Amino acid sequence: MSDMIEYTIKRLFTGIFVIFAVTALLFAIMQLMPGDAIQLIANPRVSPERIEELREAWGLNKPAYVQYFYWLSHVLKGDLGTSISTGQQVSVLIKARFPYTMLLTGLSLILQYIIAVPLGLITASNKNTRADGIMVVLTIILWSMPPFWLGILLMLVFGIWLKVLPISGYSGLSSLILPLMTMTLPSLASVFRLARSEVLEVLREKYVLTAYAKGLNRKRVLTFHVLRNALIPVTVMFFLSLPWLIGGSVIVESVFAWPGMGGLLWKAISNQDYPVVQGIIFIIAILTVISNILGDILSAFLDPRIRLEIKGDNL
Amino acid sequence: MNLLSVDDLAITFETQEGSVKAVDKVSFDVKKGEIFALVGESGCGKSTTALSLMRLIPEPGKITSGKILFEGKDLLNVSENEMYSIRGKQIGMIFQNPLDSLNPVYTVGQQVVEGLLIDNMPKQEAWQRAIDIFDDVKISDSTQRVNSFPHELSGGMRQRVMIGMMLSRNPKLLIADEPTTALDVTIQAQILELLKELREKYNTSILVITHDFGIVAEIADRVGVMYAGKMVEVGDVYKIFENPSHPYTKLLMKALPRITKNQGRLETIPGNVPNLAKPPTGCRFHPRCPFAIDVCSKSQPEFIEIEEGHLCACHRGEF
Ligand SMILES: Nc1ncnc2c1ncn2[C@@H]1O[C@H](COP(=O)(O)OP(=O)(O)O)[C@@H](O)[C@H]1O
Ligand SMILES: [Mg+2]
Repeated sequence: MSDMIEYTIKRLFTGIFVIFAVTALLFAIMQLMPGDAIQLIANPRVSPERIEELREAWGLNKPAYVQYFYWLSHVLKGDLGTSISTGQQVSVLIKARFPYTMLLTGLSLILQYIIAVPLGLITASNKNTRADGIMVVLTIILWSMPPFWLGILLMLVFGIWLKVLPISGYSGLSSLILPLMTMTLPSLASVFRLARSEVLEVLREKYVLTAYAKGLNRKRVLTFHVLRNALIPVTVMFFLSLPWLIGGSVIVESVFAWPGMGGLLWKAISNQDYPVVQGIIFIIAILTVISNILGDILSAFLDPRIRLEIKGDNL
Repeated sequence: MNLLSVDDLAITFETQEGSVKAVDKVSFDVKKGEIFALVGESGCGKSTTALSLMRLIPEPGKITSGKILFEGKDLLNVSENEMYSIRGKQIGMIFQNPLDSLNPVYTVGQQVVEGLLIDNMPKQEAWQRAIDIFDDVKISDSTQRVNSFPHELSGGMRQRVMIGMMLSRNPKLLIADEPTTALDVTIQAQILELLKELREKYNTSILVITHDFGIVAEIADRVGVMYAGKMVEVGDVYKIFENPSHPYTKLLMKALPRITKNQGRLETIPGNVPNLAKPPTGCRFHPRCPFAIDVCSKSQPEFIEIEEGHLCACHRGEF
């Protein structure tokens, strides 16, 4: 147990390093983009002197590394800065939108796994039946749909033709359905395919034969021996996919005008509103690091061989 | 009295290359309390035969004919549900490679207890029983060891766990498919000793599968020699060692590693086990047989009783 704690602390330290490396890299990339936020928001009639003044006020004429350390020192004090285009506190902007993104991505993630994992187990253990074949083809189709395209298709069908669901913005829980479907279906397909192939692999293991030879019935073998082992890579995938989902939410949130961080990030990038971009990426980096650590801890919890490795590394 | 009677068993794998007749009209008996060895080179259908006794042959294998009489009941006519109460309880089985026969995510104790719980034994009693079994299979520190994970144990230890696990419910028959092949020589001898000892203690019959006549000599009471899906010679072990009749048996005995070790050279039988999708006509061994004559490629030899308790299927068996 103390090995696990030591390991977690080590991972947290590297995680903090990763978070700041990511934000520094992002800063560098933003510098490479032509123009800046002031140019984009300023009225063309504003005099060049006034623009220079504004740049100075925002610190944009300082060297990049000075700007970065300025940002960093404020972050360490808990201040994410101010949006250049709206003048609002970045933390206020994010706080207002963070719950919407978490609602969408969190629900999507849970739905994906709750549906896909049992389905993967059932189809894999009935391989070569018609139902298995249908599921495999269906998920290939879903999986190959670009979310953007799928979102528009769902909008057309449910919002415009059937007129049963709102297609844009947030006006209660019914607004959640279409973005949630758009986000969930393609990923659900890939989780299903992972779960199915993992189960198939475990089914070929000798210890499954041992379990049957011992006298266990099929249900017990499938849940206690097969599923339990197949869950190890699936769990890792669960935690690794969280940041990808938030990334994916940029498109989905923009298509459905969902009031989450993804939409905010999209706007902030087009406006080169770097404090907002930095703030959001900073939050996503933290979530990524935390979910990676959680994934590793949980997989160590599920797999004693990984625990042994951790113990060995700590020696 | 026969505990197990396999009668004209035939098993086919339908593959892209055609039907592989892995087991072709094989018959043998295992008597109460005896150790019967099935011996033959790799690919002769020994494992398939063993798995069929548990009705666990992998896809796309099918039992196409025959009977498997266990205490007089034909296991091929039994429902899958009834098989659940036969596997582990009546017939146990251990496999060649103890490294991957145990589930890596559970402790060895949990895996033994899991079997005992099928018989509705109270949990605490089951754990105590698991510890006793570990003592029986000579795992030192049994109270600690039940809490080990498989990867924390050596290959020999894991095979001991497998043996204990499969004997824990007192089955009448234990099938051991190449139980020592993956282990080194000193451990091999210990495991064989253990099997002999436990046969007495648990009053179990053992069907042991091997490619090594040295193991046959060490533990078996009777032996069946299999070649390319066919049984070619069956008999009491001392009779077969004294008077091996089938050329395949003779060559297999010559390839015996323990004898050749002193001579410094291991003789192997020239040629390979044929592809069982297209087995040779006549006697399946004739292409490799130094004594083959015309008739060998034309007709399949029937079993002939060489002496009491000793059968051989060879056109030239009298030599
Ligand atoms: N799952 C399978 N699919 C197709 N053919 C198989 C399968 N398992 C065994 N066979 C075939 O059955 C024959 C006997 O194999 P096996 O019983 O494993 O032999 P042994 O145990 O004597 O080495 C081999 O020719 C092998 O190719
Ligand atoms: Mg084999």
